[in-house]
Amino acid sequence: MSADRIAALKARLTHMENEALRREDYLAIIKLQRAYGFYMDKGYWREATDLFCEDASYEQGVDGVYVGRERIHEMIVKLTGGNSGPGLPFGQLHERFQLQPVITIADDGNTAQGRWHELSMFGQYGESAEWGDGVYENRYRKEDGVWKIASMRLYINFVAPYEGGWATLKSVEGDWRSPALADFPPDRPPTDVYRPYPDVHVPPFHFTHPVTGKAVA
Amino acid sequence: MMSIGTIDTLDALETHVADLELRIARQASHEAVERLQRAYAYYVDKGLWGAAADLFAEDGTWEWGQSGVYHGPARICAALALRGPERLATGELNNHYTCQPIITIAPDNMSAKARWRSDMQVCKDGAASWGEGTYENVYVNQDGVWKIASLHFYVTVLWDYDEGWVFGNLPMDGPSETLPPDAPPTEVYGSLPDVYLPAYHYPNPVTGAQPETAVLPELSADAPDQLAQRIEALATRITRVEDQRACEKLQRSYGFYVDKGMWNDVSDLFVDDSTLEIGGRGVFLGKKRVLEYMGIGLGPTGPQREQIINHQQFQGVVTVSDDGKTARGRWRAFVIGGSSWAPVNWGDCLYENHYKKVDGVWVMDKLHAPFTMYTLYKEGWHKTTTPNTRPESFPPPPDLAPTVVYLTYPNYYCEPFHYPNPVTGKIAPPPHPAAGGVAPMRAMPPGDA
Repeated sequence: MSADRIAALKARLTHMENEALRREDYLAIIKLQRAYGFYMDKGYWREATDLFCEDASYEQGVDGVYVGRERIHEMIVKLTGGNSGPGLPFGQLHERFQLQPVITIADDGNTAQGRWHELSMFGQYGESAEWGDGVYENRYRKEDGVWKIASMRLYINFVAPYEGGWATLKSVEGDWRSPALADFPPDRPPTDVYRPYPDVHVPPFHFTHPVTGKAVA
Repeated sequence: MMSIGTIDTLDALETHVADLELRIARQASHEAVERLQRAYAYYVDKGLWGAAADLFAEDGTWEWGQSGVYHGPARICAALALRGPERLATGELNNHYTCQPIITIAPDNMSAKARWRSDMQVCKDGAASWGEGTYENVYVNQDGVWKIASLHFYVTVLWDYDEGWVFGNLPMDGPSETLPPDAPPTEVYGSLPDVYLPAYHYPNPVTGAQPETAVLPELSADAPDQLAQRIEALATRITRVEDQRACEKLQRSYGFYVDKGMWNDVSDLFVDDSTLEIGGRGVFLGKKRVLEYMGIGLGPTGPQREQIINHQQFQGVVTVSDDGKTARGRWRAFVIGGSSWAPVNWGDCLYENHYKKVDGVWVMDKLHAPFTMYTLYKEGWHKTTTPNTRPESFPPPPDLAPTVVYLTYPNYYCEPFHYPNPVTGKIAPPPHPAAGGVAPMRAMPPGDA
């Protein structure tokens, strides 16, 4: 009798230890992405890219896919004005708010996916100020007990001038790749050639509908 | 009498395990409610009205501003579709950044309530607007699936993007004539320049705290197979997750209270040996001085007509110490501030805060908030920024001088990160010596950082 009860207790404890790990994983993944944002804000490119797996990939807009942590680091430095950091030069604003996470951890607890909404404030004092809007669909991987970014996909929706905002934007015509990457081609072509706002683009959802369980597209 | 394998020992073990199971289930529910509300926002962003409406329970309700109340997913879908075609039309924008959740899962894990906020960037008929408001929602757990039981969005402000809030306030729409609601608005109020305080579903997290410590039988360390030790180790892990959630609630409550000028509730988040330091104003010691800082420096208590002081608390990185007695948090505040008698400005602020647990309740230990940037709405951050404040910028004077002197944007300052890099485990180096200047920032040789 008590042997049965002890066996049942052990099974419940084992299940819960696994459940507790999921709760910790969830918070660790959110911390990882939010830490990325805080490093990017302050020009800490090396700290930001150290959050990626060695073989990670990064893709934003229609710039194509950059593979490997060092390539991602070089790409981010080029996209953000070319300084090595850590730090920003006088007059550069680079605020990247990491908001609204939906995190889905795989059953085996080794990988995860996350959707985030990014609101940005970009600027160069005396020259320009912009609002940025984008959605991330990222993948994460646990290596030796540590969550890392396995792939980052930023679907830029707009970068709009402060004056007039998004109402001033016109549909993009043809190639809208980042000029800063003109001499730094990607390792793979873009996975999705879309047009940003004012066109409507719905970044694919990694997660099924929380109530119906069906795919939303 | 407790002895190995006796019924008493097993009873005690089973009672503990059942308690932990409920705590963990409620934490999982916390995540499920976050997912549900954030999914709603992602669907509404893109005009996926059907998917958004399907998040509601069969008898769920939806109320937005002064729209009146719609009942059930089909009617909610129709009400959402008043905003535009499914998947929106070219040129339409309907962003709902949905943030700052305070989620309260019922003790039985069958229902929940939550306060959230959304920033809305909209474009309709070629006109850009922005809005902000508060949700007080109810959720229900139906056979393990969480659904929205009621969504109530209270509009704080809507404005014409070109004009800004205060100058360009837009009114809320009343109930639709083409699709009249099933019931009139449950609360009648106006958005800015009017002010309204949506009731909080939860008490002040410090003065109203009722620590949920179940009374459990003592565990015998002699229980078989190290079961007591396993239970204790698991309980500690579950407590750390609860600690993190409590610190998030504390910081987000601070923001909601500041928004509405609720200075007593703000100061009640502090204790007598807490400190507060915001911008360059210096250090204020203890909760009484926090109250003076707010009440003397920032204006009368309570929301004021023609004024908005939104301090939106975003992106918290919270780190609880191993012993569970203290914690740190890096956050940002996205500030929508101003009034008909004071400058109308955007603010972008940073926090590196300390929290501590006093008699089982998490309180603010040190609030440290260096600004990144403040700008006038009419100008923008490329044209005009407000320099950092100083101890004498406005009353009252501080108790101690500022702990750090720095300049805000367009200059550069990086408040040190309280956490080591989550992947490498290393402390971030100080900024490059040329950071914040105009000289080129050349790569430094390794080891020089």
